[in-house]
Amino acid sequence: MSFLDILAHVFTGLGALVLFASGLGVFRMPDVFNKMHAGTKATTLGSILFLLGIGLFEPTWMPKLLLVVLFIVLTNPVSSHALARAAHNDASEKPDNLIIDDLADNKGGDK
Amino acid sequence: MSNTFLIIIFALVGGGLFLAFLRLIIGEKTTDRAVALDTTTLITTGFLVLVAFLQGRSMLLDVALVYSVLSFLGVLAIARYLDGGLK
Amino acid sequence: MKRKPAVVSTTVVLFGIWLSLTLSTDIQEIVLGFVVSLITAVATHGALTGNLFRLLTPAKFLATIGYVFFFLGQMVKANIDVFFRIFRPVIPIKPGIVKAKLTLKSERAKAILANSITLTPGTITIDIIKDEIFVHWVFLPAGDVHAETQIMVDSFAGRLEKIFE
Repeated sequence: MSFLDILAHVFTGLGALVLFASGLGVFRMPDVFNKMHAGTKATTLGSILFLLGIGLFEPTWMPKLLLVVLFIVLTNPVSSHALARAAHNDASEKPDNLIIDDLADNKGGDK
Repeated sequence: MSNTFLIIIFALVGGGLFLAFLRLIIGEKTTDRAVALDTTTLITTGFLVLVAFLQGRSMLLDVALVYSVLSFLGVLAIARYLDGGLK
Repeated sequence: MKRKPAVVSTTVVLFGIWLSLTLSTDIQEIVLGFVVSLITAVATHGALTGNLFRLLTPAKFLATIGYVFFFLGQMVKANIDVFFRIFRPVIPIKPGIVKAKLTLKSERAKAILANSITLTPGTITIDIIKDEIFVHWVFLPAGDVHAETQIMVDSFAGRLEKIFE
C-alpha cells in the first residue's frame, strides 16, 4: 500500500466515524440548539473528511468533490442560523432549559 | 478498498443515517425534525459519493452536488416558514 | 472603466467552477466555458464575488492563509469536543445564550464571523442584531460568561479585521 492509499483510508474512516457521531448526536441531544451543535459541526467536518478521502481514492474526481466540500462548508452554518432564529422566535418551539438568555431580554426591552 | 474496511464504512455511515432518520420520524418538535432533516440529507450526500466510487459512475457526483444544493434550499424554506414567512 | 477588477475576478471564479464541474480537456468546452463565464460576469459583476484583487496585497493574503489554518484547527477541536460529549452515558450540558459586542463594520466580515463561530468549539450563533452577536453555549464557561464570550468573539474578529480592515 502506498502512502496516498493509507491517507485515503484514514480520511474515509475518520469521516465515516464523525458522520456516525453526528447522527448519534442528533438522536441523543435533548433540545433543538444542542442538536444543532452535533448536526452542524460534526456533519461539516465529517463530509469534508469523507469526500476528500474518496477523492484521494479517485484523484480525477477531486475538483468536483472540492466544489461539493466548499459548498457544504459555506451553506451548512447558514441553514443552521436560519433554523436557530426560527426556533428562538417561536415560543412553543423554544427549549426551557436555558440558564441565561440575553436574546429574550433584548427582545423584551424593545417592546 | 478491502472488504472489511468497506463493511465498517457502510456500518458507520448507515448507522448515522438511521439514527438521524429515526429522530426525523420521532421529532417531538418541528425544529427538531428540521435539524434531523438537515443532517439526514448531508449524510446521504456522503453516501451517494461512496456509491458513485464503488460503482465507478461519475454521474452520481452531479446528483450529490444537486442534492446538497436542494437540501440547503429546502431547509432554508422550512426555517423561513417557521419564522412566519419573509419579513 | 472603474468596475473592471470586479468583472475579471468574477470571471476567474466562474471559470474555475466551470472547469471543476466539467472535468474536460476538450478545447471546445473550455472556450465555451470561458465565453459563458465572461457574459455572466459582465451581467452580474459585484453581486457574486466583488473585487477579489483587493485581497491580493501580501499582508492580507498571509492573514487569509493564517485565518484558514486557525479556523481548521478550531473546527477539529470542536469535533473532538462534540465527539466526547455525545458518547457519555449522561450528556454534560449547561446551555445558555450570551451576547457580545461586535466591532466589525463590513457585512461580509460579519457573515464570515457568524459562520466561523458556528463551526468552532461549544458555540453556535443564533442572531446578529445591529452590533451585538448572540451566541449559544452548549456548556457555559466558568466565571464571568459575558467576558469569556467577548474574548472568544474577539479572537476571531481580530483576525478578520486584518483581512477586511
